[in-house]
Amino acid sequence: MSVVFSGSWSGSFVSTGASQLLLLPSGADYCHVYNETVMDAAGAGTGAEFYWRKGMTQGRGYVYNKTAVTDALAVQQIAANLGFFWQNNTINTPGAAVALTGITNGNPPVVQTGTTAGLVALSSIVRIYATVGAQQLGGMDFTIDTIIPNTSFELAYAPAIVNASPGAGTYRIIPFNPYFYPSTRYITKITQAAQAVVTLSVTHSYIVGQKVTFKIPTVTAAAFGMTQLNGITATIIRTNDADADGLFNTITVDVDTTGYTAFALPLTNAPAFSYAMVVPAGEDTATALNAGLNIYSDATLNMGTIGLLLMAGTTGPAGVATNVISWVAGKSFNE
Amino acid sequence: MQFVACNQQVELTNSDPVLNSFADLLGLSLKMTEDQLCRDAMNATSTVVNATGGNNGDLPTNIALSDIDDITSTLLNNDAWMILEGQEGMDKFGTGPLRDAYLGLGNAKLSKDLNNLNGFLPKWNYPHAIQGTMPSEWGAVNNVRFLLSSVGSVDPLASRLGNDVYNLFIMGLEAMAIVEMDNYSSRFLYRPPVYSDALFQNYTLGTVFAQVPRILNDLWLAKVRVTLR
Repeated sequence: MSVVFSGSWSGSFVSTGASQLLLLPSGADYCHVYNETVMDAAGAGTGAEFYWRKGMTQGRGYVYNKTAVTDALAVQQIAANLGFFWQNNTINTPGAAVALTGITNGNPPVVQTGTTAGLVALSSIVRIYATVGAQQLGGMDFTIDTIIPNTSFELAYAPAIVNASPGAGTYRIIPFNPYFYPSTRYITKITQAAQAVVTLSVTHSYIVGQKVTFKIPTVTAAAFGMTQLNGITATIIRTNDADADGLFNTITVDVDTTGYTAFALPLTNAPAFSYAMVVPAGEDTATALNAGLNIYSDATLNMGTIGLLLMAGTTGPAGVATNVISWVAGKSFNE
Repeated sequence: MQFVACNQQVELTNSDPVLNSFADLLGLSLKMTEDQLCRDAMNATSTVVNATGGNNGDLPTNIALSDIDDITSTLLNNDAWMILEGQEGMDKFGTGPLRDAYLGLGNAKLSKDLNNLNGFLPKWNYPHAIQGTMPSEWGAVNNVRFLLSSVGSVDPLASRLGNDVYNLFIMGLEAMAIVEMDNYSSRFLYRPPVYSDALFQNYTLGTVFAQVPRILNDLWLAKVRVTLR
């Protein structure tokens, strides 16, 4: 009988030493990965062949290590979080709740916690919950920076706040950005300058020429302060200028805020409020052309990906830098 | 895209009922996928307003009449046109006149909190409850009529206290559009055995679509984040 359901996909790549996502939008039931560089070389206890099937524990799989001297393949389970992850970034469920013990008044603020597992500086996004102090940060997302293992991490782009340490609370890791681009971002700082520099709480990917509309709610007499900017649509003329604290996750816009009230986050005891934010609102094509950039960068783009994430390493399926990796993934009838 | 494949045993016995059944399922799947894409596009790119008028102590709070009226006022001041026309009051027990309205799209879990709002008018109390409404419509509050769905937008564990946040998209006319990417929005495709299979044993039917949701004017749409009571 002829069959219409089963099929396979294959490909190859040269490892960069970083994890590699295989795009498999139709799903997959199995995947074999071959490290051709390791297979060609003499055995050194490194991974030559890898296997994953649907239903395995996330981050696991099997590895056939090429043994030194004999070149024999020795099979074993891949160590936790170093193998295969089935990944769908259209489903963005926060990670497990992790306790924190305080948020300092440092600049940037430092979150104190006994668990920093899974955090990567300048990459991971966390959301803060249910803190005793620093409640103005509750529910907001932040990219993190300097991590001291199992002690603390920094909220990379947050302004200094009133000390909230000690003070119990929790945080969760947010696995993905929204999968439609360009997405909104929360504002943490705005300079008073001829061309305002706006700092955003999570690493942004805006580019020059895009237009954004500012939403600056009035929460208290002091916060968010720069309400003159509320409702104004501005053009991004530069990205990643240094802000007053020397941080670079910024957009510079064509608005003179010199005479505006200073921007300030609410304090912990502020009444319920909406966040200050930028909303993508179109494109200034002249600015984009002048910068030699895409004049359609404001187009709504579906960045959704479904696939298999291969982790790097000597015993990981994505190998180490310059390794030549080939793979076959497929769907088949299931019993 | 999704497709269903059938074997000749279906073709030779009861093909029509099976095809009709699959067509229903595929149509439902297609439209729900369209809804989910529109939902996620709006969720990622629209203006965020936290509900602040409720009393559950969270941020955002549960929805309150003041939150709905604030958004209505904002949309009016941004010159957003209302989408649905009002219904004149009639001499029927329990009904009340219905104002012109913006649309509010939300998750079905908001139904209880909407029921508890002052001035909430359930769909069944509209003057024309049957002809002038949509199946997913739940009711109206002042100038917003709410459509609820089980796949309505939720941001899990996103509030200040760690509760799920439900996103209500309140919009005016032409705030949102669908752009057809390849001169069509969606297609239903049937390929009989003679085209689907070398042995004429299997055939397929499926749906594809090529479209992208797009906010046309950010001033005419707001994402109101709410938690539950």
